[in-house]
Amino acid sequence: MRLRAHTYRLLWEAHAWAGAVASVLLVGMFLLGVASLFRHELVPWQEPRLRAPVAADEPRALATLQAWLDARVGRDGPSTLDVDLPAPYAPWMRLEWRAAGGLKQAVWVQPATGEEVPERSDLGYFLFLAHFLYPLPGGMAVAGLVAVVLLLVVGTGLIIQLGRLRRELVRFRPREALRTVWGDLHKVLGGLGTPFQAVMAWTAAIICLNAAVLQPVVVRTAFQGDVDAGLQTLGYPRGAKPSGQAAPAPRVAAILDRAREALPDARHYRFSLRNLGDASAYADVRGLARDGLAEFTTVRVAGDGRLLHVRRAGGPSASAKLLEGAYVLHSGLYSGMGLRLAYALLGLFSALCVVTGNLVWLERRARSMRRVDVALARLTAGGCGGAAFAIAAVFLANQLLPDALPLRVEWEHRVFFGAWCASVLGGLVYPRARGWARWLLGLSGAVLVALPWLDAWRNARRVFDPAGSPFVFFVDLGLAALGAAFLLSAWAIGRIAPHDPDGARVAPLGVPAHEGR
Amino acid sequence: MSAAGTRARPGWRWVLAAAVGAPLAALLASLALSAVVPVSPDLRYLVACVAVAPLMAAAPCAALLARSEARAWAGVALTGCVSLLLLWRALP
Repeated sequence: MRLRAHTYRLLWEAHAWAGAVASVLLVGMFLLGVASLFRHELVPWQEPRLRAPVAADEPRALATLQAWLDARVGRDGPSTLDVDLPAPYAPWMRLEWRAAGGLKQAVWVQPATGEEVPERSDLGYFLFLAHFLYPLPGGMAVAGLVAVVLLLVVGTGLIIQLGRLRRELVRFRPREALRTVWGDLHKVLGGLGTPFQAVMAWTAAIICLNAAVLQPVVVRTAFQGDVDAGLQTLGYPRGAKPSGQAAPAPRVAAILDRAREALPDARHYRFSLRNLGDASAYADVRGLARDGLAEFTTVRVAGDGRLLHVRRAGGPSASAKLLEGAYVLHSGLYSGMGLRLAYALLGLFSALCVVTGNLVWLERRARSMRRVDVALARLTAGGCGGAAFAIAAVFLANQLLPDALPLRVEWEHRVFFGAWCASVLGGLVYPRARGWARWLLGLSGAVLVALPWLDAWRNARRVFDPAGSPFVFFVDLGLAALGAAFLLSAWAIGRIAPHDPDGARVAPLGVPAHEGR
Repeated sequence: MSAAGTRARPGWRWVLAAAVGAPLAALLASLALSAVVPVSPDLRYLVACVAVAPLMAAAPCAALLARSEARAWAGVALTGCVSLLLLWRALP
């Protein structure tokens, strides 16, 4: 099948412009997505005190939690509390609540001794949230729009390659002109990654647009404004409001037993306790029970032990199954570590595909850069390199910020966004766009490669030690590999593109009616 | 405007229709679908979730491939107005 020349040109321009404009966020979201795939495994790395195993069985841990609740509920304790039970990657319990003024409080509690320490870092979870731009105002809606742009880019890319896809998949000519090299690499990466990118784009759009736009409106249009009916459809009905009657802390061991009776095959990992200190207190016991693309369960148990609601994996309705399936598919939760490693590789390839697409776009204009082209080149160089730099910076901040620093967790977030913004601004003022991108990538790579040694020195352990915590060992390997990939990218940019296109006065290359090369 | 047999290269107003108008109209159309499809509320929600991303991604291409800038804007306006009307009637 061959497109008409005009159609081909328009779709090529749409593909190129949409990709270039969204490239900074796309590269950032792909890199953050790769990191957040391993957010649980990152926990012992970001919280060194969790690396040592704890000799406490489940009854002991629940007794410790019960003592914590009994000491606080009805006095100065929170009315809402989330508790992550001990897991292989985190043998301590994590408790989170909102203090007066809405400030988030999180502590780790040692399940055997009850020792309580404030949370030092939420690095993995923050990277996961940043992947969806959640920490930014309106970020989820923007992330949804970026996902739609990615779907457009993938769709138009597929259409303009129709009839040539098989040939383009295996063609790479590193000794040809620069435009050809970038073009070949872009087509190989794009062709191989198309199914992955299309799935990521569609599922991300469903996740983000649903949360930001669809849900508030569809509750009015499809459910006639009945919020409870909408929540019931998803399997998460609204809980009871406080009754005003005081009550002691609920018995967490009994609640967990009741949840296990209701869903014996699920792995129950979290209590979401609500209305604590009130007679209407209840707990949502979150669980995991893999069933194809369905995963998440919830058992709601009243404070007095009555079973209130059971949500099986996938939820009760078609829309619940779609939303959960989209999330599970997007996160690679439907299989094991092998799939997540494949996702990580495909995510890195996708980021590289976006960058090479940008380079093709710039090479076409290299002979006569207009102001808008120069500005976009600088913005994308600073933004794409800055995404790598921000990730390296937040990992470095995790190591170097003092543990006693007030609002330490928030400071890590500030370092991340500050580094990304500074990179973009630096790109706008630095004389050469690619030179700036090369600096950023080189610096990010050097920091990431050095991090395992820094952590080993700070925690008095051997680096790359398979006899120590397996989580720390594999995070060390992952950081070193990612750093090496960034260093290789910096070397490649310097090697393949020694000059920035800025002076020539020849007309830019047009988009061919059909790309021949 | 276009000469016989060929079409004009999109100007900035045409690009505006494709980049802003068309996705917005597609979003409104997805929301309107959830108000009018004659199925259960759950399936209406499902239809909106499934349709929104492909519609928003395809709409800019459709606007760019329209025969003229006027037709692109007319499509955006027609889709947007019909969707808004349906939403207005459906909202409680």
